[in-house]
Amino acid sequence: MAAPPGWPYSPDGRFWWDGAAWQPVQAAPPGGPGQPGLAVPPPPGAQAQPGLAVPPPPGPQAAQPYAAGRQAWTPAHHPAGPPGSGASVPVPPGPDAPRRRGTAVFALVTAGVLIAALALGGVAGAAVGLATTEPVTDDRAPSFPGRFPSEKQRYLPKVTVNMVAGNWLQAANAWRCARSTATDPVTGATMNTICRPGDASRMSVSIWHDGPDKVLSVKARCDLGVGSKACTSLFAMMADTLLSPDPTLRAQAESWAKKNAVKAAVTSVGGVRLETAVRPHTMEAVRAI
Amino acid sequence: MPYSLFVTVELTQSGRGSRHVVVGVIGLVLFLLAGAGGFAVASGYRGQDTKYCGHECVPGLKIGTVVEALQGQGHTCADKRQIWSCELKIGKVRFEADLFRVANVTDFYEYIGKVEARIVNPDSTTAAAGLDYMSWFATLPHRDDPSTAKKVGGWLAEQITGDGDVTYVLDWEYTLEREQNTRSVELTMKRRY
Repeated sequence: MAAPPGWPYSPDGRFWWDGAAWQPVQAAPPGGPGQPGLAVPPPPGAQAQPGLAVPPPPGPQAAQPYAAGRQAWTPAHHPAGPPGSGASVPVPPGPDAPRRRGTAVFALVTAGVLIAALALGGVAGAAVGLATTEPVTDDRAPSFPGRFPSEKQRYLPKVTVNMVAGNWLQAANAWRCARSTATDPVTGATMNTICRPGDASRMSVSIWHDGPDKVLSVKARCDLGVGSKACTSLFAMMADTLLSPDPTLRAQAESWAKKNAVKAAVTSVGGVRLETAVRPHTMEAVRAI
Repeated sequence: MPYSLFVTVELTQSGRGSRHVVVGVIGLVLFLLAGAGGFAVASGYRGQDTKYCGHECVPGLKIGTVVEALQGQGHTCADKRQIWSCELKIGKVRFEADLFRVANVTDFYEYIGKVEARIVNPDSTTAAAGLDYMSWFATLPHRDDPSTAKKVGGWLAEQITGDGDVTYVLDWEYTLEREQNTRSVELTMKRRY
C-alpha cells in the first residue's frame, strides 16, 4: 500500500515509515489517475536528491532519511529499520545497490584509464626512442685485457745493447762487435750487433734489437765442443749479464745455464726465456710470454 | 536541515574529486614509466640496428677502429684489400689476426665479417696471454653483453689448452683448432647462417 501523505519513504522508494516499522510500498494500478506509468511512487525526497541542490521536503520525517545519509538510519532516528537488513535494527536495503554499481563503474573506468596510460606511454616512448636514436655504426674498440700481447712485452726487460756488447763483451773480454741493419725473421728485430773474440771466431754473440734499449734476443754460439769449459762459461756469463739488474735472479739464471749447457733445455727467469741447444751448441735468450 | 545537506553534498563531491585526482596522478605516473620503458627498449633496439652491414658483421665496430686499436698495442697491420692482417712477435711466439671485411654488402670495406686469430709457437707460459688475445677478438660482437662475453671467454679458456672444438653463441660460430704441424692454435669466428 502507498504511504499516506507526509510519511517518509526509503531512498529507493520501496518502503515507507509508518512511525513504528517500515512498510513495503504497494504498486499502484497501471494507468491510475495522478501518476500514469509509475509502478512505485517515488519517495518524497526523490525529486530533491538527484540534483542535490533542492532542499528536502519539509518535516523531520522526510528529511531524516536523506539529510544525514546513512546516519539517518541509525536506531536513534528509527529504532526499527526497514525489512531486509538482517540486523536487530534493520536498515533500508536501497542505498547500497546504486553505490555498488557506481563503485563498479568507477573501478572499470579507472582500470581502463590506467591501461590506456600504460599503452600510450609505451607507444609514445618507443616512438621517441626510434626517432631520436641513431644506430651505433662507429663504436670505440673495447679496452684490452691486462695480459693482451703488446709491444712492451717484445723486449728483454732492462737489457740494453751496451750492457751486453759494451760492458760484458768489449770492455771485459776485448771482443769486437759489428752492427748491421737486417731483419730477424723470428723476432722481427730490425738491427743486429754481432760480437766475436779477437783471437778466434769459434764463438759469437748475436744481439737483435730495435734500439739501444730495445733488445729482442741475444744468442750465443760456441763451437769449441759441448761440455767445454769455455762454452759453459760463455753461457753462464751471458745468463748472468742478462739478469744482472736483479741480483737474486742473476745467480739463479747463471746456475741454470751452467747446469744445462750440455743439453737442450728451456726455462723462464724474470721474463727472460733461456733455451739451450746442442747442435749447434747455442743458448738463446728472448722475452718470455 | 539544509546546512547539513549541503555539507554532505560538498563532502561527497570533494571525495569523488579526490578519487579522480588520485587516478589521474597514477595514470600520469604509469604513462611516464611506460614511456621511459618504451624509450629504453626502442633506443636499445635502434642502437643495435645492423642493417648497414646486412646483419653479417661485428655490429657497430669499423674494421679501421679495430686495426688502430691493435696498432696502438704495437701490432703491425697490413691492408690486403679484403683482409687486414695484424701481427705481433714476442720472442718466438707470433700473434696473428686476419680481419675479413664483409664481402657481400656495398660498404664491405667498413666492417668485420670474420676473424681468424692465431698463436704460432705458443709456449707453456703463453696460455694466459693467448687467452686474453683470443678473448678480445671473440667478444667483439658481444662487447655490450657481459654475460655472453663471459660465456665465450669460458669456452675459450676450456678449449685453448685442449684439442679444439666448435660452438655457437648468438649467431656466431666459433672454431678453435690446434695445428700440430705448424705448432699453432687458431680461432675462427664468423656469422652463422
